Amino acid sequence: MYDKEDFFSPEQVDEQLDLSLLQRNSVPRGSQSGVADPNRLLVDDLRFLYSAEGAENARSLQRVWERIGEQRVGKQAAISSPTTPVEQPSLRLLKADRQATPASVRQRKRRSAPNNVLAALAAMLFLVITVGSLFAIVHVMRQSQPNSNPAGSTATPQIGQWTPVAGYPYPTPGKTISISPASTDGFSCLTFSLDGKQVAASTQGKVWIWDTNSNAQPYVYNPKTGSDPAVVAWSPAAPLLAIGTNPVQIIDPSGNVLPYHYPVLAGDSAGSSAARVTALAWSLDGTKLAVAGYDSAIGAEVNVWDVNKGGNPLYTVPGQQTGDVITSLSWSSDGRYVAFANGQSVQAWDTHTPDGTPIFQHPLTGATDVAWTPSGSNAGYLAFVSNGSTQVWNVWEGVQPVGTLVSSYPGTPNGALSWSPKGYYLATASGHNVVIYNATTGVHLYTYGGNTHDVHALAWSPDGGSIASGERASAAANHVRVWSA
Amino acid sequence: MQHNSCKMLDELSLAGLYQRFAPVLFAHIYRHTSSREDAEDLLLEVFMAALEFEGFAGLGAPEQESWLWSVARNKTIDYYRRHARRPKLELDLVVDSLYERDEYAPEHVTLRREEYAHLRANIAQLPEIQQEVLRLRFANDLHCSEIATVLQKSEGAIRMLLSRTLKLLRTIYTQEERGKNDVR
Repeated sequence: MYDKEDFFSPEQVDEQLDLSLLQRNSVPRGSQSGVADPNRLLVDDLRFLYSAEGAENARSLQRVWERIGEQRVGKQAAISSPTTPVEQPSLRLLKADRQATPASVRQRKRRSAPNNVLAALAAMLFLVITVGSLFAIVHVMRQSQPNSNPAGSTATPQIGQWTPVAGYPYPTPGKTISISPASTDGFSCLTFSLDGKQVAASTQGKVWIWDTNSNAQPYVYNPKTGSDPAVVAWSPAAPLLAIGTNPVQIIDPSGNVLPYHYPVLAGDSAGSSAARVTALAWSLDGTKLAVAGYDSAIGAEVNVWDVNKGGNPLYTVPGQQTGDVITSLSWSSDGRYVAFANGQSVQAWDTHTPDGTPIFQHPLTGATDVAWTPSGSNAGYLAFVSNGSTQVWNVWEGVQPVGTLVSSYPGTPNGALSWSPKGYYLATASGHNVVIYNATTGVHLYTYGGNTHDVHALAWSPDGGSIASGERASAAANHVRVWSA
Repeated sequence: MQHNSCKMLDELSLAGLYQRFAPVLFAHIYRHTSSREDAEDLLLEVFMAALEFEGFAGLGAPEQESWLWSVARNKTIDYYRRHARRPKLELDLVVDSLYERDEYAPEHVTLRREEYAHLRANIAQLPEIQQEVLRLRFANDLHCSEIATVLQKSEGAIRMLLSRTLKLLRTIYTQEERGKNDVR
């Protein structure tokens, strides 16, 4: 804890403000004790006062970055084909309009090229009317043919094409909400905060946290101790962020690390300071944390802790000390079963039975996420990628393990996947694209094609309204895109 | 065979360079230009100059930073020269209108939220340099070392200034809290 009178000291002012950023939108202004913290109130209010200008600055930086890219393309085209004129200005104008260009910029560009703008506006108006008419016609035809898209169909919509489905609550998928700054390492892990207003990701050995409703630079959290985190996970029940260092750290909105010890590979008597955390998962009620660790000399292990106690794990998956690296972990919605994938198999274990055997096991042909449906009536549904297809298995029903294949979606999934909050829909990554399916019927609903590199991390926001997709390509500018689901 | 004399930075280096330096360079340029669009144009010119400078990729990180700053300052000076005859409100005359550069000024937001009025009034009474430090910290998201570069002051001086400003503004809240407790 800090002394409130010492807050904002010249030596610490930068660091204290950075830590305060973690409080953004995470907890209400009034403290639980009823006495508001003046430091917190001041930082909140200053942030609010300057937020609109900060967002506009971020958009300026994004616009310049896009123009740099366009001019580079133009120059390279001119070098490779010097006789071909490059129509970059028109392209830039249209792009800038899409990026909500400020009125001042639009006015200046109108002055500089009024004819071009009028022509572009006329063309856009014509396009809008034409496309609108087509949509209306298609809509009327679909209304008159209710069975034109039967359940179970695996017909593949083109990228960006939307297959309307009765009951799907999100009418306009694929609209960009924000784009993160570039990371040279790429993103292997994404997580939404409880309120859905922030995304956290591990990249470049640090944790990036940023608002989903702006393109502002991320807050970079650099753990002072432990190994570089490769995974992070926001609690689904509280504003707490688990960071995959060794030992695992959980930070609260003030940036304070919870005073509990979560040692990686806790089941090994010798322990392992060299072990790395390879997967993290919170139980849905936020009381338990499952952690997968790996040490090349020891192997892999999954430990489960009481978040508010740490120390000795509540449960350790038996017999995993010689297993391969575990790349993904997931809790069943009732907080009883934990599933993991290690490249060779998917396994589900009952944490209430310490010396048992897996209640479900399925061979794998490569790395994949594994994800239990977060809620709903299909609580036993477990999704993962196996043998070139995304598969949903019903692992248990009531208290009985069943292990039946519910649905399978062909394609070229690369392993990243995420459920919608109510478990009705499933988003999976396939190359640069993200595909959304109806998890029960297998109907292919939508393909998002906004990413420019392979997508290796996906997260569906807690309110279901948006999806974050993170790229990972070597020697490239990787981004996380947040878009409407 | 055509000789490519333009040895460009690769995409990876460019992205890292932009991510690291664009925010602080933009803050510097925007501070010395009369519009956001001009600032964006100048920032674009700075990075395009870096892309087209044959030896840039071979420079070390500190030299690259110095080179970018040098180009940014020169382009800002050129901008001043080009706009010398254009009527322009000087920065030192805009203490009361510091936030009126565009429609996103804080008081527009503040007017919608009366509870912030007191804070806004106090900020408006601060010396210009303190208002500028607040703006660079919260709107441009710069750290003290970067603010020091933009304002051409020492990092220690900026830390002291920011600390003093925040502690001064904090008294608004401590007084309000005290008032509430008195009522209870």
